[in-house]
Amino acid sequence: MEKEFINPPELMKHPSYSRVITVKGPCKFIFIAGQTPSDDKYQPVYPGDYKKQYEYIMDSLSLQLKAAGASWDDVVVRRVYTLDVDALINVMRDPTTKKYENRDTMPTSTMIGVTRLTNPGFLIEIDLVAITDA
Amino acid sequence: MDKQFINPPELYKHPSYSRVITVKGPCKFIFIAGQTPSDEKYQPVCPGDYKGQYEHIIKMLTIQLQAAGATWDDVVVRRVFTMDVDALQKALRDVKRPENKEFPPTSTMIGVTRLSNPGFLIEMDLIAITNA
Repeated sequence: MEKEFINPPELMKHPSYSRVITVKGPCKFIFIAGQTPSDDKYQPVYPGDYKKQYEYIMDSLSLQLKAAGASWDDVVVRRVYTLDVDALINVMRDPTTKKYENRDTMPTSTMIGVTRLTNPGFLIEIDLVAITDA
Repeated sequence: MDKQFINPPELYKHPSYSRVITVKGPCKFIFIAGQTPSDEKYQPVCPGDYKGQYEHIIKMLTIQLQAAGATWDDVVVRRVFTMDVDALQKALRDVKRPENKEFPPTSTMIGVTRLSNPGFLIEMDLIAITNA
């Protein structure tokens, strides 16, 4: 598998995502369902707390990547849905928030403000696509 | 790489997207991050102007497709997020669309409450596939 990260000089180099990622050659695709901040009864964890829900989601995604033989370095698409974009951006920028992604291998990303997730207590949902060698 | 556009006759043939696209054989996947109508300081361009923001986004996505050795003809997935679906659809009637008219990508359009800056009215992300 051959992977390339492209950040065309005409566009601002964004610190938290890659603009373009290309992949060719034999590879394994890993699709991860939207992860919500939910416990083993599918109830919200850390009600109202963006930072804790974010870290809980990212920890849960780390588990799933590992289960598929992948790491955060392999993530090529990250989609983030949240009830409050500003609250989440503040948490992601906060230096005390746990860091998961490697600066040199940031995925592409889309962040969207939404009116509701599957439980009214879920503040954030993140789904991923990762690609590793076949 | 073998690519097929399928529009099953049981479904309405939509003028601006394909229903199904299949790809097989050696290929290169190109993932492009959600493009917002942002300048080099990540501030909104063309405030309040759906047409102007759409055209800016298309210009930026074209640069990125080119940088990856692709064109709009290679786009297989297009996701469009907007603060006002009606306003965007109205604006789209007066703009030149970059997609191949005969073989457009698949598409999903979604109305949202906010993008990463309150001045961003539209965001679009793409997946393209070319020969390896």
